[in-house]
Amino acid sequence: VKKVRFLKERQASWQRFEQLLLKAERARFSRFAGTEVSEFSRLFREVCYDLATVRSRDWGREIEGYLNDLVVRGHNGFYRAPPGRPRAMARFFLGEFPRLLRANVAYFWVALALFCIPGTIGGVVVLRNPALAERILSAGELSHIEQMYSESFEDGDGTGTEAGMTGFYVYNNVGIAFRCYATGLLLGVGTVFFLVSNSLTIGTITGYLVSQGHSERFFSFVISHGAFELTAIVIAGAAGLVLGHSIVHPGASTRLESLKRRGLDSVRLATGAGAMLAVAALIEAFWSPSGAPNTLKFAVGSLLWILVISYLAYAGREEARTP
Amino acid sequence: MPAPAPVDTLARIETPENVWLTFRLAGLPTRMLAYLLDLAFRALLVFAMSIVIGLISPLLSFAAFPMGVWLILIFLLEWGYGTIFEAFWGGKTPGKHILRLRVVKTGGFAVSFYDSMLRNLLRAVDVLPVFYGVGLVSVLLTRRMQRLGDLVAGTIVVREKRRRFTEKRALLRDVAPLAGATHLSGYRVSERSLALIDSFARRRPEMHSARANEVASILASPLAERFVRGDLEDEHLREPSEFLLRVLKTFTDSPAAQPSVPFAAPPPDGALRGRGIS
Repeated sequence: VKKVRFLKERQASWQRFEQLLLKAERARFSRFAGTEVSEFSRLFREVCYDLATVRSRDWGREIEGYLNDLVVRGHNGFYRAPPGRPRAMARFFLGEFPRLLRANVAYFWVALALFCIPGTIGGVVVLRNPALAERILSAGELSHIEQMYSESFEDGDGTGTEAGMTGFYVYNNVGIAFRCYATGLLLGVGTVFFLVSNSLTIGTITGYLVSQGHSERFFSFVISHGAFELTAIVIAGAAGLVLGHSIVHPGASTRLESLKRRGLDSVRLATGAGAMLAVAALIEAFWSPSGAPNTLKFAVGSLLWILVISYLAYAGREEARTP
Repeated sequence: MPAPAPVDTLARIETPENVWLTFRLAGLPTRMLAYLLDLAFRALLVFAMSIVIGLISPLLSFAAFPMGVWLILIFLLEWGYGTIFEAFWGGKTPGKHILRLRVVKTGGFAVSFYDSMLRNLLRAVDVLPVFYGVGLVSVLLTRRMQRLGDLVAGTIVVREKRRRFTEKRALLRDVAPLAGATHLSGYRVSERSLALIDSFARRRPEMHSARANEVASILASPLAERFVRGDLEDEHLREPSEFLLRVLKTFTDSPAAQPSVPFAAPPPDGALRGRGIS
């Protein structure tokens, strides 16, 4: 085939393919009629073949570049990952996320230990000798925290403080969880640091407030959102440990391959943790500081703990059994 | 023995159709510029939101409410900006769009939501210790110029250039074919040489004329030797690049490319018409 004749014969197909590409890039393939889809896939294969022909005959960079771009765009459209749909999101939270966590439950237990043990030790030490709390938190912070829990809670005054606090909790807590997850890439060291330091802070505050006699008000405040918040931090930590472990102990594959293989699972865990923290932020802003009686808060809080634990432990089991 | 991989900024990917695709990888300066554009865009959004909230807050009785919205927006801009744009806009953020960059999987196809989430969350490590130190080192050290987030998510950042054909007719409009050259020794210039001259012709406007002649003479000399006639020798010595264009014009015209007719008349100017691209 001579170059000139080849170009003359194929040009119309390329132009048609370009038209279809433009349409696919602007809208989605779902807008395509059935015949257009089959036309697209036929033309795509033809253009691939043309590119191979041009390459083998060395017919110039110009035309090769043009066809290469056409194939790149076609490839991009043809093998596009299906767009995220609301249904996919629902499926993730109803089954995939808790299943994924259960598949990686060893990381969860390690993260839980890292998050509980330092805080418990710190809390007990501070409870015995409250002056030691100043080793972890400054005196100013301690008095501020104590003041917060020495007044009784009241219902919102209608200035929208709750919504403002929701924003703050999302910004602060989800940010911490994501950082705790991402720094797992540093051989897991960052994740361990975040878990232990947050654990110590929380343990110290708890021990200090209990020693100052604010335990009932404090626990009634934290029990509800803690169900989501504390578990989510541990899950984000577990996700970070997945990353760290896959580098430190890659098994038979290279470290990079091992990271790539586990990376997607870990980010899905972190995403789930982020969503749980958003729920926690709403509870922490609207329900936890409300004027409801403490007994009611304890009851609701306990229910939420049962809900979260049974969600993580049981949701999505039936689907796993019947594939 | 396989040839060593060429040292360039192209990524080669084999498609399921058994065709090799080449992607031009985005270098550090372009990516930094895209990042700065995105940063400016984000700053602009925060600024605009702050003004709106500053204006409406005093009018509302629930004044803290807009503050919450504002904080959630800040959070989304900090952690979700890249993910949301890349996942729902074919791997592009506004900054990347302006510079024609796109994030794709190393296999060449579009990124999914979680791919994008992964590479953007791991940004928190790439920014360490200051000013993307880890990311910079990683981009410089990896063959496909990936930061850590890219490595784990299996993504690359590529440059897109929509290529169009320049009509050859336009390139050769003012070029006269070689008068009666084709019969000389019955020699025909190969398709491969013509393709080479063709790429040269397209790049010639970007070159200094002295440099263009210098480059052209490499091919022009052996070609002119084939055309034994003396006046052609003279011409190629004077203007090698012009000579090459004339060769191209002469031999891409099918009637003139028939070497059988001795001293064929030069083809009419419109002979290339109807052949849009070549």
